[in-house]
Amino acid sequence: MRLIFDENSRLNGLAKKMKRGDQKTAGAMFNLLAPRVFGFCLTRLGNREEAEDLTQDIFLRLLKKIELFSPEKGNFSVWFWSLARNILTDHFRKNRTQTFSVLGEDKIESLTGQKEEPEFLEKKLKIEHVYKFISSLGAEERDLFELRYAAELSYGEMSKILNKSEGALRVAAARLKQKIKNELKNV
Amino acid sequence: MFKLKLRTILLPKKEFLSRAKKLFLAEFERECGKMILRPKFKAVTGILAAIFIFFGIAGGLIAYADTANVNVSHPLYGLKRYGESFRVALAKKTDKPVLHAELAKRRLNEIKSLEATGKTSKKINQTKSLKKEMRESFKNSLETDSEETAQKSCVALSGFVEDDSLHPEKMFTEHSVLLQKFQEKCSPHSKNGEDI
Repeated sequence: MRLIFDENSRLNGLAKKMKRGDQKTAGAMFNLLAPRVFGFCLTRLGNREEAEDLTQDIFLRLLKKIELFSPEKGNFSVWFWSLARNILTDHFRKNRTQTFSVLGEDKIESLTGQKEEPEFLEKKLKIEHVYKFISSLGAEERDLFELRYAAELSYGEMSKILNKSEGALRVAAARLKQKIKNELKNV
Repeated sequence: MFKLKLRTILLPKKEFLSRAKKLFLAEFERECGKMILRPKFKAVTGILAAIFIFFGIAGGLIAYADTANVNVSHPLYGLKRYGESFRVALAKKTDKPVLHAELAKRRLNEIKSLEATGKTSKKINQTKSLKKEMRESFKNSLETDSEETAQKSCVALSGFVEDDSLHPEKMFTEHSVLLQKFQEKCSPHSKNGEDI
């Protein structure tokens, strides 16, 4: 609990400094959030390239919108992830793109034939597996998965973003956790 | 354990992170100028506005105190005296003698109002200081360098000297040199053409 609180205060502090034009802080903010934003996008899109593009978009949008954030009004983490979710939703509305997950076996084989590092290819396949699993989840479970395991948010932050009680989220998360464990042991 | 597994699967490429960070920071620098200027500009504007408002209010109060010719006991009396010094500093050389004559009259009126309200040690000290300033103003009003200025000054001072209620002789008893100087300077320039 204390760690979450510390990270929230840290993010709020970084956001304040970023607003004042501190480049070093902007870099620190990026380092802290970029991997999670990428993971968040990847779980939804199932495609690395798209997830990379969208991650970049989210950070560029952050620059335009940071002026609107006020530490007195709320927590930066909640504000930022709400922004990221909205951008992702808008992306889906605009681009109904084909993701890697719907490619047939032959496509996968042709990709396998390309000169890719074996480790990376293995990762690609794991992502495919994870993405298929997420696609099988209901909308609420999917939200929970993205925010809890990709974005790594606390229950308090998730409850503000999803507008649900922490208790309900904890119960749902416990059920989801079991599903994930069963699924990931095969990965 | 599975969280770690998941994290590893969902990790971005290092090259992507490096490239994306450079782009982000370049864009940040572009936006940065706007971000920095805004708060600094706000701070500078705020300070300038505060200074402007302060001097505006102070100036207004000084102008009021001077034109209303507030009394010694008035809270704005100090500001009135500031206003008078500004007027003396800004006045043309030819206008200064008349201005000093006006100030001498003001000091005399202030002395009279102080004496009318009874004597305390504070008031006695104030009266002494005002008398000194009045004589100084009177002396300065006699410092003329042209015929025209001398005429204007004498007209202003004649009114001062002739007014019975002012009792100037009493004011100048110890400093009759001043009164003598006035008579020497101003006797050919009486108000009605008569000798003073």
